[in-house]
Amino acid sequence: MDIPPFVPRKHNKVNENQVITETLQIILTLLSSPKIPANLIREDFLNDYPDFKKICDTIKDVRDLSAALSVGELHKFFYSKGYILSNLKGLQSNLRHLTYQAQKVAEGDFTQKVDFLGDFSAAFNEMIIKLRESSVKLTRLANVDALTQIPNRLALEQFLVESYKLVKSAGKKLSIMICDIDFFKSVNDTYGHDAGDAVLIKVSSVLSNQFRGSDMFGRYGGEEFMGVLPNTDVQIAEKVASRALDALRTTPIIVSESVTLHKTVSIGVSMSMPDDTGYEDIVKRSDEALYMAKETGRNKVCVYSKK
Amino acid sequence: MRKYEFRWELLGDLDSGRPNLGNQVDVDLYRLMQFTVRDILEERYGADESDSIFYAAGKKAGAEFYKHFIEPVSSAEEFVSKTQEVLREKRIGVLRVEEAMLEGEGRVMLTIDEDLDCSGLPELDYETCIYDEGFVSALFESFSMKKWSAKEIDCWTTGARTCRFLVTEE
Ligand SMILES: [Zn+2]
Repeated sequence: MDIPPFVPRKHNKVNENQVITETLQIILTLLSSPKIPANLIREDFLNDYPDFKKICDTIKDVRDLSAALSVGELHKFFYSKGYILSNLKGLQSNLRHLTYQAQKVAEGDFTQKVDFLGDFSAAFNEMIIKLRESSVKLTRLANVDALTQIPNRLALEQFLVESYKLVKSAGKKLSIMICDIDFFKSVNDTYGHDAGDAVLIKVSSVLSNQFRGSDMFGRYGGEEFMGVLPNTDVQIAEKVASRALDALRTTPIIVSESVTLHKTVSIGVSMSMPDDTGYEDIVKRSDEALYMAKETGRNKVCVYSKK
Repeated sequence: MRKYEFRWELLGDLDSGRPNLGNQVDVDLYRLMQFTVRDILEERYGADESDSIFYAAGKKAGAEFYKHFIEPVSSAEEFVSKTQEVLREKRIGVLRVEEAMLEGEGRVMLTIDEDLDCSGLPELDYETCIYDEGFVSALFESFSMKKWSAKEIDCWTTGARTCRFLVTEE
């Protein structure tokens, strides 16, 4: 929610007459009291004059709370009433709320916003915005492959863990495909590493386009890519894979002014099974299917089947 | 057979009912209603009983409010921020949290600024927001499915300029 600019509450003008009347009343009460004996017992005296006791208690609380606040001690609570003490309590409350917010920020909640404490609020809010920006940037750096700008292996593994939870908890299907660029090494050997990079970039972008928003397609390592398709059975995954093959076959890859290549991939696909103990089991089967695709001619999709 | 058991439908359809006047009313009048009801309750049943009726009514309102405006929330953070948002949007008050232990021994300290029931009230030497106490405790009960109670420890009527509540798990 967008918080409208904060309007601080105005402090009431003191009703001077009222203050004077109250003070006079107290003084008169004291004056009309019997002469304070020299051997006064403090407790007795205070018990005889409850109003005076109240003032003493309040002054003591004001003294103690202001001392606590001056050193940042925020866990002392006082139960006397009144305007001055209450203003100090207000400051204590604001500082405590701020502490709470700082703790939330430390836990990674960058939605915290302060709308009291004047200039400090602006500085705090600015700090949160900067923290949020750098957190977004760092998360991106940690999860995106620098060359191809698609999710990297770390991101894939996190997504696999999340997706596999749904397999176990909600009985959903999960399909995984592994794609490997055919004869990639020869690109590097023949045209150099820049050409190899150009191929990786183009292939990743063409294949990426075949996936839905709920899937993840990322670089698994070297010239290997992985597609993770939650809530998808193997027949659908195979169709996606075939479409990806077709798209790549018809895409020329310009690696330099004079060289244009056509590359293909081999893809292995498999789906979650009741006896699986982790997503690793599905990855392993997809790997075996990929091996089959490579062994039986490349540029094709193989779905895992029991030998 | 109950005659007045609360249902949201009983509040009616304001869009069609007040095409010109809309769904807002002055806070004085909201308070007029509350303070006169309390006046009569005290006259008939005494201050303690009237307080306990107010607490119970606040509790019912809090539980209904949670179902109607807060749900669904999936974490304590979301519960707090959603409640802050709705209380502000509905102009009930500005909620701030000083400490929140929702797990374990269950202790929360919070303040409500510009509170609908008491902000601006004169100093009276007693906390007045008993309805709010019930309301706040019910929000926590609804979220956590455990028993909570709330006590107002500072209020406009005790010289403070914000209402502060200590909410503890029973
Ligand atoms: Zn209050």
